[in-house]
Amino acid sequence: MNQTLIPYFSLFLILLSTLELLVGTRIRRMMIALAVLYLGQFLLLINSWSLGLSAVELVAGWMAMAILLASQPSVEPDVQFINRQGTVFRIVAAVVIWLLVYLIAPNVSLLSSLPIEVTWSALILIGIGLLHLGMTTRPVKVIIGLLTVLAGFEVFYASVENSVLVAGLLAMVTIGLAAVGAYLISLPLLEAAE
Amino acid sequence: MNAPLIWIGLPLAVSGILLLLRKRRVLVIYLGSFFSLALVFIALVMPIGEVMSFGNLTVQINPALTILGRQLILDQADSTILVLVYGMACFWFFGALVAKPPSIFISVGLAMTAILVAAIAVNPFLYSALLIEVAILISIPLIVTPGIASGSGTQRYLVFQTLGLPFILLAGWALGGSGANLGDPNLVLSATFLLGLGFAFLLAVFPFYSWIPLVADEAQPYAAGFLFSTLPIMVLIILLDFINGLAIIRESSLFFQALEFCGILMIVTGGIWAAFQKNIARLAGYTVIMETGFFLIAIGMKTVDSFSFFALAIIPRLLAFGLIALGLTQVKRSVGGLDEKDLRGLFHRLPFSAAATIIAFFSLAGLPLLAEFSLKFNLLTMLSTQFRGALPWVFIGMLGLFTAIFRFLAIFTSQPPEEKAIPEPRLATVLIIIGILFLFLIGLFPSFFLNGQLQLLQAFPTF
Repeated sequence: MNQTLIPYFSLFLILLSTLELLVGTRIRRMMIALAVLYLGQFLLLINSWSLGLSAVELVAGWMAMAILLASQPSVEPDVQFINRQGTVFRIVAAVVIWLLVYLIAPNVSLLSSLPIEVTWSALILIGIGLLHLGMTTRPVKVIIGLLTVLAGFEVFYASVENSVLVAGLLAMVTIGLAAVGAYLISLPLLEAAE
Repeated sequence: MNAPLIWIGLPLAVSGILLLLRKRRVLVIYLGSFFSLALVFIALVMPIGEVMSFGNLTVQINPALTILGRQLILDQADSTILVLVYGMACFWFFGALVAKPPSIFISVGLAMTAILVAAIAVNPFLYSALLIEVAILISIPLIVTPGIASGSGTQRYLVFQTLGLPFILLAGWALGGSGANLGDPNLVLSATFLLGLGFAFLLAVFPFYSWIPLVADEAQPYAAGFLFSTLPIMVLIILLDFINGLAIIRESSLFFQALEFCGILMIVTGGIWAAFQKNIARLAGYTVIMETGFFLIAIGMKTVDSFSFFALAIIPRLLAFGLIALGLTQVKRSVGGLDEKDLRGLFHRLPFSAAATIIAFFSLAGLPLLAEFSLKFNLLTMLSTQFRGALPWVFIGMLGLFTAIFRFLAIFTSQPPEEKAIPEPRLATVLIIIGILFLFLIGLFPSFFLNGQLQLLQAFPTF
């Protein structure tokens, strides 16, 4: 693929995956979207970090996804958490975030010295992640929101800091968040040992 | 021997062992308490960095440990912090004999304490944010109950604390980028703003404190008490460490004014909300918010005496929150809830737990003769000379808290639904009596009991 097209391709992946994460109700599809999101983030990170360091973040993201998926009940409840109006509202909210990102990205790009297409992706991740956090109380969605915000932040941070230790600790935080999410999801099923 | 290995590595290893032994609750509590006490003792008697001779044996505790090119440094100036931190851990762990918190309380508490000490010791400072985040993640099992879905308080706690991480990391980059000098005012302003916002999330500064009363309500009172008394103090020490090490922040009057303003806002809003609480655990949550507010005012005033308030107030605050946590744990276990309707006539049913709770609340509010009176009086006197306009607002907040405490006092002394007294465990009664006695003794002789704490400021020599 042409090098200049990679950021646009990752932007496309991030747009699709964040939208599915925002409106989706099926856990398996949401987890696939999360895996796609981390692939998009990886394609952005290789602009700033070495391939190996970027791959660490990709693997950490996919591990987080696997931990969250493994913590789900074996039979997925056939419950729609969002009705049609809710879906429309979420799509409209996502569009508003995209517009906001489009408006503020040039200034942020100037400050961070990142290419505009990378800045779009990072800001969309942060914006949609925050939107998630403001709209849900389901533990799995809260954790996905936090992981999305952190993924966006990592794209920014990669351009200014290339320490292996920081990258490792950030990967540890990603996996740790997923582990806490898995614990919170399975909490009602745990035996009351106390 | 190496200081970071003794006060960070060893506690982490011991917490792992205690996790494996968690089924043997009493043994774990004794091991955790005595291990913390041993760490306090070593910090008191072994000077870090100096060679000590015991007969033919010479011992030196090396202050630094290098890991992957980064350093963990705990020098002699940090020894008071170590005494305080592991002393606090010992205090809470020993109380677990009576309070019976979750079985992982000791191991998680010890690991959390060790990681927060690592956050103080790490160099460069931006790694502190990552270590604090790890401590937050570890603390989650403390505040949830197996078998019951997590409440919104736990989720908000996780969200707000995690959102602090990016801001502190970015501030670290901005300060590193500016070469820690005042060359680029825009970059300095951005860094100060980012650092302030990061710590606002971590310290649950207004308006990011909504999780505190929710967690106080949802979690087991003793575990919540440990979290509320340990985390803000450790984060404040890390904040002071940042300020001490960064001339840019130290010389920024805007940063200190913002701290003072946030502190006042927390006292006013916390106090007003406290006045309307119908659940005493949530009232404890709002008291935590107000206490953090007082600490922020003290740091924001940026005088030697105001920094002294920070050092002196830690012990009375710890004692009061310990008594509240112990009292509320007994009450919740005996009467099933902490709402107004559950607490009617509590003085007739659980006299010691009720007395511990009310007296500790009064101490935190600054009632004369109790531990925090002289400290709060001095702080407010200093505030009146430096920023007179703030005083009425602080009084409004304190009035709100007093209103709530007197309301609960009236509920406690009202006629109970049934006269029968509930037996209280003997050890709990003894601990409560000792705690109340110390609140009065500290109130009567504050200098005698608290002046040793001033050594804490040695860790921040630029103040």
